[in-house]
Amino acid sequence: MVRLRPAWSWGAGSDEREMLGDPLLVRSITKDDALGGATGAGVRVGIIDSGIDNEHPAVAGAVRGWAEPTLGEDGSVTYNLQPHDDLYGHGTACAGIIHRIAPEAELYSVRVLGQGLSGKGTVFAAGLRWAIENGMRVVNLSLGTTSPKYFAEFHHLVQDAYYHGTVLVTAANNMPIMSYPSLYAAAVSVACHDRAAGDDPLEFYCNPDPPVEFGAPGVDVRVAWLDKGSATVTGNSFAAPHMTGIVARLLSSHPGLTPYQVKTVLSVIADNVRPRR
Amino acid sequence: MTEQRNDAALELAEARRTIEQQQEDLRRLRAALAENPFAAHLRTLLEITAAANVIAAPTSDREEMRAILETAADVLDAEAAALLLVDEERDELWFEVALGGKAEEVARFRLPLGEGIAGYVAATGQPIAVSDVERDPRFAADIAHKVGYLPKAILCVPMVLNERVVGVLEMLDRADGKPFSTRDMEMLGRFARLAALTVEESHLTHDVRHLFRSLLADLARDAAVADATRRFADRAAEYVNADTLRLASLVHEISQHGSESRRLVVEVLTSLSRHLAATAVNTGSRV
Repeated sequence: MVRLRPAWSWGAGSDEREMLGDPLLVRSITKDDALGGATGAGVRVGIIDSGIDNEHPAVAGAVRGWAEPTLGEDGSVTYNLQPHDDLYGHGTACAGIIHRIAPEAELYSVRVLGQGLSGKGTVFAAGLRWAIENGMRVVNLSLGTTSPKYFAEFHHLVQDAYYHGTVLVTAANNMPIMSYPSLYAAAVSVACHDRAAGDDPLEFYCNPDPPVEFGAPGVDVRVAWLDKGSATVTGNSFAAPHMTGIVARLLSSHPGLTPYQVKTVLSVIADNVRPRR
Repeated sequence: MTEQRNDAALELAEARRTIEQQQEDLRRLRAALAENPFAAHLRTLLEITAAANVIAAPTSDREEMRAILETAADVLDAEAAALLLVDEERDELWFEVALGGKAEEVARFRLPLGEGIAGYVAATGQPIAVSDVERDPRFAADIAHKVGYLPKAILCVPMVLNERVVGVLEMLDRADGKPFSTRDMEMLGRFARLAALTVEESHLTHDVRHLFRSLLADLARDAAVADATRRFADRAAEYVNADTLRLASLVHEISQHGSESRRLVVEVLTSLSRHLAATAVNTGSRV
């Protein structure tokens, strides 16, 4: 569990992390400055989903670790760290999208689907906790829970991730329903953008009207699927991994950025933002 | 819980009022469309209004769900469609309504939640559209692989009620062969909302009927009123609706005030029983 530091513990004179400098200069950052030449190398990416087919050509063995939380009868959670497969195809699709954009990122499959509906919110939360506590710099959450009874638990986890330096990229729900954790301000909330064709792997848009903050390709996107196959898909859950791949690239070339700084840079280099020169 | 259900019933009533309002607007919309034949958003409104004509007059919960599904399939130009409900105890989905050439065969199957597009949507609440699938034999497991119908495209959205996914709506294969769009997804989401409210109404009716029977059974322990209440319970159970909850509550309250009150209740119930019988004979409609 990440501990919150008291506000007065930050020492202005001793901080050696990468700083963005003058806020006005931030606007001069270009996409090439942020992402050019980056591959995702050295960045751990957690994919909380239905599992990943690591043998799929689109994933190409990029998965370096596995975790599957299981809920015991007494409510306790255990983690199976053995390799697993993909139950639905969705997790492999997400992994393929991320690998295409950040080919050297280290993927970790956290499977939280497929054990039935009972306790699924708890299993989902346990998967997210594992990702935060095991050094993921960016976590893809193409799913969420609609149950408000998990509001506090996920809020706590999202806060933990934020202060731990873990960027949570979440898919907003395509329907007008509450979905956690995509609604939390500390998460990066993504929807598919009609104008994004998906040909440019670094194409994305900034939305000035949150809670959805970024738009990415998610309409008729060709993705990896089960049994080494492929499929054409549409949905916000395929736009989120696009942003996850971009964040992995950004963190590989600028590893000192905090989640707040990551959001700031993304909002500056988005395709619909005119750069300040 | 009861308040939530009443809220849901009110929300459904509100949705119907909205539909009626849309019907009222039909003439004006047609006139506007004639003036601007390229106004796509007006066409959308007309499609919804056309849907309202079918949905506004259901005769039972399943028929209402069928009407919603048929209308959604018409609006989205889908070759086949299905409405599946979640069985939380068995972690399965079961077909409440299926439409299309293989509908009867499909309706026999229950699906595990751990596979297929419908299973993913039910487990996550995230709507998705999938098409042009290569080499995945499990892709069609959620609808018609077992009966020989292999869809090329699926659009699946959740039916969310009280923060829980209670089922999913699936559209299979657009007639024009194109993938389902985000506009289709948004449109199907509206139908899913209506379908979820119908599920709630179905639960409400079931629960009210059960409550009504329990209250009347308690009342019937008094030998003096047993025959009348039993006859009424048998009759009323066939016609119970949301308003009956208030009636049941009143009956229960009045019956707490002694023998005189119980005799009054008997008179009221007997009159209502005759009224229900007469209504059923004369109109065949629900009360």
